[in-house]
Amino acid sequence: MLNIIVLFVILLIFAMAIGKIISDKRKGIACVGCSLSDNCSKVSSTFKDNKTMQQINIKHIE
Amino acid sequence: MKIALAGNPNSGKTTLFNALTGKTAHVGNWAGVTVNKKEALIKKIFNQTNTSITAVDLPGAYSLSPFTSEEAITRDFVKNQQPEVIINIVDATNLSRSLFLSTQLLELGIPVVIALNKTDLTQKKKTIIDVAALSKMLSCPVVEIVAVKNRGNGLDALIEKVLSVTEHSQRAPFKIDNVDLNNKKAVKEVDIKRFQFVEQLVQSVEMRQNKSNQQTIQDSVDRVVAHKWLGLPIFAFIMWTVFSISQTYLGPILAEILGGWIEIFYVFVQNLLGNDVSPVLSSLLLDGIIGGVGAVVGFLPLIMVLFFLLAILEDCGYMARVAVVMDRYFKRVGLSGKSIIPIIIGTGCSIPGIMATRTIKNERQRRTTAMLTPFMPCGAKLPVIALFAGVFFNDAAWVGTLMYFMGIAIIILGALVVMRITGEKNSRSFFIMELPEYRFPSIQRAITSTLSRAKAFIVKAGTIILLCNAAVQIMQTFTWQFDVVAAGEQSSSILASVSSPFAFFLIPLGFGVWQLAAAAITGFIAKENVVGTLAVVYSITNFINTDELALVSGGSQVASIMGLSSVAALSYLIFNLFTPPCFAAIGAMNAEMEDKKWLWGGVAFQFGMGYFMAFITYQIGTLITTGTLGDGFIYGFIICLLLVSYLFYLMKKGDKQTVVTLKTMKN
Repeated sequence: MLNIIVLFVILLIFAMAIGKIISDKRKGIACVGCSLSDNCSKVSSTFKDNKTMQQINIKHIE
Repeated sequence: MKIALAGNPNSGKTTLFNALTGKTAHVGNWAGVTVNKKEALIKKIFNQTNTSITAVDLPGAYSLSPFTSEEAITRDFVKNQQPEVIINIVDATNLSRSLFLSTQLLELGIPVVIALNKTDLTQKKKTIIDVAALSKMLSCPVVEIVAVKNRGNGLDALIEKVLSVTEHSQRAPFKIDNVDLNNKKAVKEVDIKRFQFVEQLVQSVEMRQNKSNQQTIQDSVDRVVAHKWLGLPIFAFIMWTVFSISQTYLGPILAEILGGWIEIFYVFVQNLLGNDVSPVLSSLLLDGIIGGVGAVVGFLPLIMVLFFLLAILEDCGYMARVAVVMDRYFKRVGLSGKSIIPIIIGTGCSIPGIMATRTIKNERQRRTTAMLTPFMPCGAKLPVIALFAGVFFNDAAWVGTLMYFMGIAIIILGALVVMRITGEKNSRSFFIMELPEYRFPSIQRAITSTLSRAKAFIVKAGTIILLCNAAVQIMQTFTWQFDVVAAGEQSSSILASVSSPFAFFLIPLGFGVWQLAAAAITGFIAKENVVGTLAVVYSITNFINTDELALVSGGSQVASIMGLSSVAALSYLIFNLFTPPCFAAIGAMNAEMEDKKWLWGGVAFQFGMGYFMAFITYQIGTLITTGTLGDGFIYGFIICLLLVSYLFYLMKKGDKQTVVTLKTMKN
């Protein structure tokens, strides 16, 4: 009986850890728990805009 | 309702954004910290209406005809997204420069409210600004604020003004129509006229006691801390002091208290389980979960003290001087002066550091910086440094300092190699950076920043590290036939059989045992895993407990359990610090480089550099300390020789390319 309780506790800890990882990923947080990650996760989309803007700027400067 | 926060770099936009929204976005007392726009709702205490107001924090811009990608984001947003109101944050200590952008914002026709920030500093300098006259001349409300203050900061009045102007149409005091942005001459003429208008305006509203050509105390301090010869030793001394406080004095005292609590909890759970629970489940819970996570969390106080001190250094304005000091070396190896910003940000976490490379226009420089930024020891590597400094080097502060400066040296060396390989060895760059005023650092901001990092560290330890440690514990407990490993037969475990082939390649580096190889492998998922895995594979639950493990007296017990000499320990530390940081950082490199050849070349370079540095450290160190070369010298030498030869081959190829380019240019 005690073994089942311990196994249940371990599985519960794993489930909570996996749950937190999945929920953060769904929120778009790239690194679990990181407060700065909210910005990091926007990197790819903003980066594409930036690159386009950079090309325009470079042309403008040239 | 959407309001945009726009202003010059380092005018205090993110500080205002945090104060208005209650967020904890990263702020720094230097230009270029925000490279992306951020959005959040304004707190109810500032907004009593039923309408929700979203504040958008934009990257700093000097003008709306942008020269950098961050400025482009700002220009793009205010022109195309049409916010209801623009809050233009104006640095009251630098009015003439700040109002250039203000006049451009006023031309857009969107209601503008000027938040005159840092008015506490102008009072100190005895500079008087006629706010009413400024408001009249600019045809928009001007509110004095001190965004860094908690009370009496003027933010209530600012939002009140914002709500009162929403329906107003904005008049522009300086307006020029139909300028062809592709016509450089026309743009320049308009800019000159705009500057003249701003200068006249400033002269009529501002009364300064100090003239700008007078030498201030700040100028005198800068002459020393940003000096071409003194700057670097001063930086080294400051970093050594930071490491002394965090890793030798204050950090370990706090860590010992936390370590004691972890141990009490461990013993409590151990007693609760008693002898009736299956040893497999018991060891998974005690050693895998509590022991592994506890070993990593035990280093939290050291990391918190270090981050607190780094936040203080950044907030007082010193890190901007470091950028100036390092620029001298960086531009000689073909990096952009802007490369120092991602590298300094990378001391917290490599990922935002790699992200910050976006501000570098030159593609080669941007990719090179993204590739080299992870060489700076990030927060995740600190537990590894603290562990090895504590166990093998008597908590010496020089270990951490050495790792930082080795990181910088490797970045310079790496940049030199990449410059030769890409055939751009004659490229030079120029870096202009505004030096912020020195100020007394905000303890509250440093605490907020430290707590935010601490929270992230604990969440990571309770999720990724926990799962990895549990997996390591399970792999160590069972054989491939899923039988429980017998006592003393650990080498028959799944973990040992998976790690042993890698351990073979690590013999020339001084740590060719499966336990250390396993820890190094899990470190590629997250670097804190190195500590967690070592705790699990050696069944050491608490690295910090000085009574139990005698860390202060040299950690002989842990050292003997690991079976490493001091030289091999240093080599292991170097290998873990200078090989690729984690999968997330590689993902960020992929996003920023946008080129698979560069990405895999970068990862291979990081592996090669980590291996080479560890090999040199172990073999030379062993030769000096014992008089003979270390184990596996011959095949380690062959591997390193192949790596170095290949790099030289690529550099020669790059040199030929440079010659061809130069000939073409001459013709």
